[in-house]
Amino acid sequence: MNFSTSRRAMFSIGRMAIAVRLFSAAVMDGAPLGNAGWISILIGGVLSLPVVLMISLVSKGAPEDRPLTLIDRACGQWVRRAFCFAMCMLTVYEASCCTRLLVLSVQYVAFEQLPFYSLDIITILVACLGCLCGATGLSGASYFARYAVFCSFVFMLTSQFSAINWRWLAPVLGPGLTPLWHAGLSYAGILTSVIVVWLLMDEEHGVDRTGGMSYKKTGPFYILKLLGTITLACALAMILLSMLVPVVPGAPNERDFAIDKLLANGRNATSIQFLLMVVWFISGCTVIPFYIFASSSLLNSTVPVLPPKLCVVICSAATLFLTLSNLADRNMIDKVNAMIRFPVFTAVTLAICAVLLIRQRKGGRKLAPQK
Amino acid sequence: MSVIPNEALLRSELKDSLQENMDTLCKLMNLPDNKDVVVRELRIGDVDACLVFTDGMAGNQIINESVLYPLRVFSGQMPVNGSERASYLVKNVLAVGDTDLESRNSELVIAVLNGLSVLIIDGCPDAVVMETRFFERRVVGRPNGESVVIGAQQGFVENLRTNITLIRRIVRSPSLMSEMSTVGKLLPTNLSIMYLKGAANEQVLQEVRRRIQALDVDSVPDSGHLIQLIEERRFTLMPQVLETERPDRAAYLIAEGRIAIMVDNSPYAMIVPVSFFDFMQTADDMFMRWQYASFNRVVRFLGMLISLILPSLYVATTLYHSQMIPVELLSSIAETRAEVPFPVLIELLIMEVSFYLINEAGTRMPTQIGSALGIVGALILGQAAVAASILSPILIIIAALTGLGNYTIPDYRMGIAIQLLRIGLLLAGSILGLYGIILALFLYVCALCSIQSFGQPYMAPLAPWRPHDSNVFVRGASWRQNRMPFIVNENAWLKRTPEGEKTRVWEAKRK
Repeated sequence: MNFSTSRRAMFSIGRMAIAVRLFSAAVMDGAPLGNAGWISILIGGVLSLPVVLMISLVSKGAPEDRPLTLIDRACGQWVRRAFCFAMCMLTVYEASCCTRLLVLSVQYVAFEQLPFYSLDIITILVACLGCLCGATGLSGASYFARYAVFCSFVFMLTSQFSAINWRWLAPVLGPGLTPLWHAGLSYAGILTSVIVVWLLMDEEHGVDRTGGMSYKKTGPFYILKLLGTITLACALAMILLSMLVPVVPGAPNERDFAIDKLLANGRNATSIQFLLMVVWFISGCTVIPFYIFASSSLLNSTVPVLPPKLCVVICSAATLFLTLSNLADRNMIDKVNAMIRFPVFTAVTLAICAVLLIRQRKGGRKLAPQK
Repeated sequence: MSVIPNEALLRSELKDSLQENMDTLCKLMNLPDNKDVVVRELRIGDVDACLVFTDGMAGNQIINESVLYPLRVFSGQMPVNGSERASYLVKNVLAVGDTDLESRNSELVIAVLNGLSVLIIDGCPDAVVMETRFFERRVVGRPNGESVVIGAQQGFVENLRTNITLIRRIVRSPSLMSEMSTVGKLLPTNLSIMYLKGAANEQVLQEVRRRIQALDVDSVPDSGHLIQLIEERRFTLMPQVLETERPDRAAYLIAEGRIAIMVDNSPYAMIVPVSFFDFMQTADDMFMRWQYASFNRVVRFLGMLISLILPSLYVATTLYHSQMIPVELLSSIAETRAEVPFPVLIELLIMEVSFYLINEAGTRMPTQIGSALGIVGALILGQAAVAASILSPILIIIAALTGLGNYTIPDYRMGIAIQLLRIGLLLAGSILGLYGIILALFLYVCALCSIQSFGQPYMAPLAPWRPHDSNVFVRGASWRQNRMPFIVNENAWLKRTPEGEKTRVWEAKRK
């Protein structure tokens, strides 16, 4: 079982998961923004640029080394462990938020009578089993999920093309600048979680390179490219989705409205709803294992004596505990997001990257292995 | 682990005394109880000797004409001392092409059991082992499980030597290697590892050798048994070794850098390493125009998807997501189900079980009765069950499409694996609707992507992605199939010609 978090696997899983997380946040939590959610996504993308640039610059200085190794050499192992632990907690929390979100939509669609904790348990159990298949298994699943989602989206948009109403986008700044800015901050927090992908990238040494395969995309701006792709894709999807006529009853500020909008948007509710449900469920199934896998890898970096499989089980149990607790409630998520997600992912990342960069610039070879 | 009888004797070697050697061999071969082992005493000039062979395994005509007759007409004295008598007879008297000198009793026993003849000479510590095999065997015929419309109509038989020859007739290259070995401690079975030197991945080759040599079993009766012992994940439903009964397909895969393991008494070649997509390809994919082959392959994948998902999707939508079914169809389903007393899941399970019963019975029945059984089964399931309101007509359509989809899967083992996965999806769909199906599919794909076949990823070249020709979901044009598969040595047999076209070295040399 391959638990090696190689660059290719982590990028493959992370790309899909972060994009889905951003898109779901924009749809679910962005109901007050009306049809201007895409502007907040772009604001989030711009706000996450410094972090991404710092990561890129650090990567440029030591392209072959694992970021955790760099932190270890620059700041010592205890700082690295504390950093990993903080990130681990945050990713576990993200996993529980995603689980609650997904389960809520599942419950809304077909299982209103079913207690939510039963769906939570099943979802996290499946995510845990998926994580036990290792990075190879998860990245493979995300590969197929990516294409399934893409094809479904293309089909939906093609079949609904005549129903697209361009006027639905206006007025562009209708909700006002303050809500757009706050949402942008929140989305930047999600986007900067790409640091988890960066942290967990193992060296490519020893990874199977058969068939002349080599990892060509190791350029320093690859992470920038990754973030750019996610931001633009999500913004485009939001724009297109906003232009479809929603057949949704209920008050626009309620979560039920948002879920209904996501799952039943469009004129031809019968056929499109099915595809939207498939897309949403597949996406949700990809996000949760990503965060659990990332948190377990971070836990393993914090306490290396713990075997990887045990880390997966511990993090899954922690996710389940958080999901079942009040901490994953809607109001609490909003508060925690404002307090933790953006500051930790952004400020701490910036600080760590700055330290690494200063060390690189001053010491030149100090970050290189000392013999 | 069983104890090998007469183990000490087996490890001994021939002595100078003919009588002593005969006694040892008779004891090892359980003579005189064992009636089909023949010990023929004879005299060569002035020296006593005996010829040992198995009746029915060795050819009487070869023995009479090439061994006994030359020995009888030789009347002179052998001008050599005792220890060199065997080699003297090989060089001067015996008229057999393939001979060998052997002194170990264990090897002599194996030789006799394999149909070879052993000549033991008085005063000589070496016996002459002669190739005299000739036994009844099935002629090379059409492959039963892998029939094709276009292409060769030859199939492997149960004889290892014949099977190796069938491959050699296609891959006429000195680089085609055939490593002979045995497996099984009590009842050794011959096997051959065939590969193209320079093309096959050396690491995979070493892994194949290591796994076969590491086997600690009494016997390996068939290739199917060997597969279970050497495959990577023993609890995974998916087959990890490709079995083919077509020499042309085996040869094609060997030329691609794969390794074929062939076991005596088994009409199959086991190909490693393989990916999931290899199981969806057929032999005539390579012989047909690429457009036709691509179309057929897409149909196969579609069939597999229908077979896997359709029943569970039907259960999930009717039980939990009926709002997604168009009103006309929904009312039609409701009308047909009005008289049926069972829930949809039970109804579908009844149909599935009936289908498995017909399938299994039809497979074991003689051909003449088998076709009749299919008609009877279809009648029972189709008309009688609907008339009795046990099943709804739409379910018959679902089951029929599912069955047809399953039959489009070219590999029999893969078809069974998909059937088993379908049951899992059916249960997931009935418990959690569409969400359950997607959860189950997610787990399946995760598990599939984590499998390796002899160190190579099972879902490659897609997940993980590897450079490849368009030969996965569709088969690209033949003239654009220039890239060797990812499993082959990095730089082996693949290069660019000065004109800039990628080609294989051997093709370039031929030009």
